[in-house]
Amino acid sequence: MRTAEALRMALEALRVNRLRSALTMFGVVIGVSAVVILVAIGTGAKEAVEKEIAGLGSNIILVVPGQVGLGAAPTQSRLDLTDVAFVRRVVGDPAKVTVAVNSGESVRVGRTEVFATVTGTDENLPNIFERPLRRGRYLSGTDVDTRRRVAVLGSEVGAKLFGDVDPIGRQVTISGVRFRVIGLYEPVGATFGVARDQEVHVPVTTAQRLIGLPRINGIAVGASGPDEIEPLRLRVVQGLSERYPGERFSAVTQTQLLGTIGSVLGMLTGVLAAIAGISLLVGGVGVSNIMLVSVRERTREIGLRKALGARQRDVLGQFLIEAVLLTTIGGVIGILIGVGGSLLIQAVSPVPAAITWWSIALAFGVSAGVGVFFGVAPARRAARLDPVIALRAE
Amino acid sequence: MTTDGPEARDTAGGPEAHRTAGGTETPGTAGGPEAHRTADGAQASETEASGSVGETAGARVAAFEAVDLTRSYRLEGVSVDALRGVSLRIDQGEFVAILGPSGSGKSTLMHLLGCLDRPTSGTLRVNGTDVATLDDAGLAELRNQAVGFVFQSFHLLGRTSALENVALPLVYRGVGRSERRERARRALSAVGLAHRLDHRPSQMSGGEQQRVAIARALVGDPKVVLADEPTGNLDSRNGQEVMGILAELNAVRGVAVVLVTHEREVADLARRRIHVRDGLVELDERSGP
Repeated sequence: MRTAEALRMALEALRVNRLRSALTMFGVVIGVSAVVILVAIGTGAKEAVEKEIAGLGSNIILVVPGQVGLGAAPTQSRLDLTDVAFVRRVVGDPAKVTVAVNSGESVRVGRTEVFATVTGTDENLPNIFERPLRRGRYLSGTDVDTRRRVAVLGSEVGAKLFGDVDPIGRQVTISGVRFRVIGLYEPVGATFGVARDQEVHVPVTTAQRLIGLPRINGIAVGASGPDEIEPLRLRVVQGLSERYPGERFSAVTQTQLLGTIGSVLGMLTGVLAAIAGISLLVGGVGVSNIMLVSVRERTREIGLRKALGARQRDVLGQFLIEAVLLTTIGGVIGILIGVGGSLLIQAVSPVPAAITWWSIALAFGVSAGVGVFFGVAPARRAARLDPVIALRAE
Repeated sequence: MTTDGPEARDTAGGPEAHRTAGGTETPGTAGGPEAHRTADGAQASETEASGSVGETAGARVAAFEAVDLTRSYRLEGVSVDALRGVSLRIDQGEFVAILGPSGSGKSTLMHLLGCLDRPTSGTLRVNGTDVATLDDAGLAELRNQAVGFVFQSFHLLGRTSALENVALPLVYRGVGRSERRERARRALSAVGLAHRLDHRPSQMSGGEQQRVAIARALVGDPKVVLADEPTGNLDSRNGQEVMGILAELNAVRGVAVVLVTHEREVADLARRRIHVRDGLVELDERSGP
């Protein structure tokens, strides 16, 4: 028997039992669309985080005291500005090293008050991080050297305190001390839950006086290229370890962050896909069940076909194709719903969703595979029917 | 297995006549097929008849050649011997009726001849091919090529047109769609149903449905048509019509017709009647038409 013939026969059989075919497909549709949507969400989350990390700037090394890792306790910093100068010497290019000291402070204009992360930093920040300005200027070396009370506002802080009014040149009060606004950043979004648009940048020297501690939280180093990152990282960590024997320093690169975050989110995507896969499996069991019913119902037909010259493999093929057709049609509908659902989620919810071709190919392949896997048992049963007995069936 | 289905009807109808006829003609039932033949008054005419067929056919092989066929089933642990040693030869172009009471084994014999089943022991050649040498696929091919089936309950696919029903055997022969349809059309015309091509079985009378089934049996140009109680579900008028078609098929096309029946008048249309009882051939009688 020709394949086209078998396909036509199977389509006819599905058409005859429209409602039953549709309901059976439904299980597969749900499974496949769940796979596509959940993988899209997992992938979307991963891509969003990766974009955030990449959005920091390129080739950045973050140097922090202590050990960095999931679950590691934060370490009291013992770094200060002399260490920044030391790192600058190690790196060789002072402009590619910047500093951060963070403190949560209330920032006030008149009666409007917002809580912001006040970050003490220096003029080199824009050399290393992607932090485009909307208005005004960055902090300058003179601001740092002379401990000026000037501030560059994150976009959200600026919007909350000044609304549509141009904040440049106006006063803000940070924990009781007056600062003059010299710049306003473009919105850059969040990284690892750190809302960078809620930061206020002030000269590091001013910040240290404000907080009352000579410490800094971390040093950021910009490498000149991807190949430079690793040697530079080792040099900085080694230098600091020699300077402070017995203490640990960590230098985290974006690649490391990407690797860690990526594997966690990859795992998450896998778990989501597996959960969706279970529903696809349940759909497959439904297909198997219905095919068994169908074989029983059509016992006489099978007997007749055998009497007319159908071989075992003709009957096997007929029922297998029917099962595979059920699941692949269900699969295609599921993919369409999955893609549509992902786009909808992307459009109306904050959950990022990225449709990947491999999840679609996988969903289709798996649904066809489910058809074969769950179709084999009923099809074999049909193929092995004794024609004499089958012809007499009710 | 052999006691249900069409044969159950035997008890209701007129098989008593056959039984008494067989009984009187062959008193030594236990003697096996050979005994029947020698005891049979028609023995002489049988050899004569087969001789004449052999002459007209030249060196043709027999449609069926069975030697000592047995068939046993296990039913719930009990062994049932449906056939206990049947030897017969049916030549091409013959018109044979197989008669017998319920449980006699005539349906089992029919299934063996039709290659739907395999003998437990003995040799069966269909068109010269020993069925024991064939695997499942080979047997299916033989069914497809050599035999056409007509069933008591028609066995048409309900949601399919007459044309598609008739074309079905050709599907398994790998014949292309347009040729299939053309041949099915011709077969339906041959049974007088050229005007019913696109009708479904439910839209046709019983007689018409059985004619569709005959067209389906014919479409593959088989050497033999096996008809299992072909008139069993029909009224007498439709039954006569169907028998007329089968007889015409045999006379005009030279297709051998082997039919299982319990109706005397149907069996009388055949030139040869094989009476089966208790799994054995009881009587093999011939009459020239």
